Amino acid sequence: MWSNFLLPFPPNLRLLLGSEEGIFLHPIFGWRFAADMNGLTTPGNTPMTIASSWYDAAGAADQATSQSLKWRIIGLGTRDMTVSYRDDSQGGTWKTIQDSIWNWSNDISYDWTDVSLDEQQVYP
Amino acid sequence: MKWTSLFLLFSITLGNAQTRLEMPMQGDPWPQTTFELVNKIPASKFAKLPKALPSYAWSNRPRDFSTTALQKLLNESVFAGTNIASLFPSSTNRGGNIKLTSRDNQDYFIMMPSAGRILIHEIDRSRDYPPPDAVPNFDSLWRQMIDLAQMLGVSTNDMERKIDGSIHIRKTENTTSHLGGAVKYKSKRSVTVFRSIDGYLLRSLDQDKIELECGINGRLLDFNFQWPNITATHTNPVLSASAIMSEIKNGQVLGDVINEYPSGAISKVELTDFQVFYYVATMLPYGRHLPGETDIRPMIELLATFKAKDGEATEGSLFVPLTQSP
Repeated sequence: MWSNFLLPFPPNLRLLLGSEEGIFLHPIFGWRFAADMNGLTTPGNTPMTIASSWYDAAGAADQATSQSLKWRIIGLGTRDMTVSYRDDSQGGTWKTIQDSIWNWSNDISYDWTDVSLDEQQVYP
Repeated sequence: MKWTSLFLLFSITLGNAQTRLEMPMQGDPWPQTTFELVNKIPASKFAKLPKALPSYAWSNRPRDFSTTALQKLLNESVFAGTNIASLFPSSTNRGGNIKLTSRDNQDYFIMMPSAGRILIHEIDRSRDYPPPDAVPNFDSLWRQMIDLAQMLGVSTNDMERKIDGSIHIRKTENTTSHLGGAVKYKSKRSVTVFRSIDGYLLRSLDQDKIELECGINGRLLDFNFQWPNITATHTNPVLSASAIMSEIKNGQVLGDVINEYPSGAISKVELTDFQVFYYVATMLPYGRHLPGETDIRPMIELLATFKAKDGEATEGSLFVPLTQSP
């Protein structure tokens, strides 16, 4: 789908958060995702971008899971999260991967070739 | 008489509330009290536990960051050219907070000695497609991380270890793709180490850590240092194996939130292994400087097999305080 640009990415969508494989639904994930976006986990209450919050929360959930003795013995393997966003190579001055819930610009590219994918290995 | 009774009832309720074990988002109450408890952990392993362990609290003493380290970090950030000494009120007063931000507030350098924190963030504004991999590799990042940690007064002895004894280094790597994957390159890598206390894991909602993230051509994108000072508040005797069993039977136990249990009622719990950890008993990381309160306490995690009568069994963990109450 990706190589043929067949993405569920309509013009009014700025970000699409995803995961490459199964994720650990540790309760810390939701708290951390919200706390990151609202700046509760950074000094000076500086909000993280939505994309960074997504990666950070997944990393925190994996880290919390990995500390349980069972998973320390078994090991978690590798975990990857993804963010699809609008790049600015064809126009606009703002990449939507820079969006935070407090700060964004509407000067973005709607060109379909600007739909880009960022993938972060969040663990180990 | 009635008021006295009410006061007594309130006091008992309050007393119970204060001693009730809670680990929000990490431990769930263990509702069952009728089950057979079997300890299969070798006595020799319990014998290796220390006789006593300290509890800790966050210290009010600001972390004394090395100006050399701060200047090095500034030089690698978008605020290069700023003299760190010029940001302090005086040469003897270096305990205040510093915050530098770019015009659009997207890049920042924040230092908070009282919280033991430094945060540097820079966004990638480039519009060019870089080579497939122009980001420093993990070995290079790790060497930089160790240098910075040492300059900021953190020893490898205080870093979280894996079960094999090696330092637990969390690594992240970003791959960015454009044009349906026709353009693909590494955009950043990071290494993170987490704090341990006296060689034991530290578990909290927002773990103390040092994180270093670099992008194309080694550009510093994130440096997140979170390592506040702590102080020992008191040292208490460690519970014996039989006392730990009694705590479980008395309900002073929580189940790991990620536990899966048999569908039927649990009839037998077999303890097979354990690890000691320090638990940070606060919800909000930045509301945690509460002088005099014990915030960081030793706990034991017991690996357990939960068995139902129909033979179904699952494996999970139980959390119990490891030391006697003060």
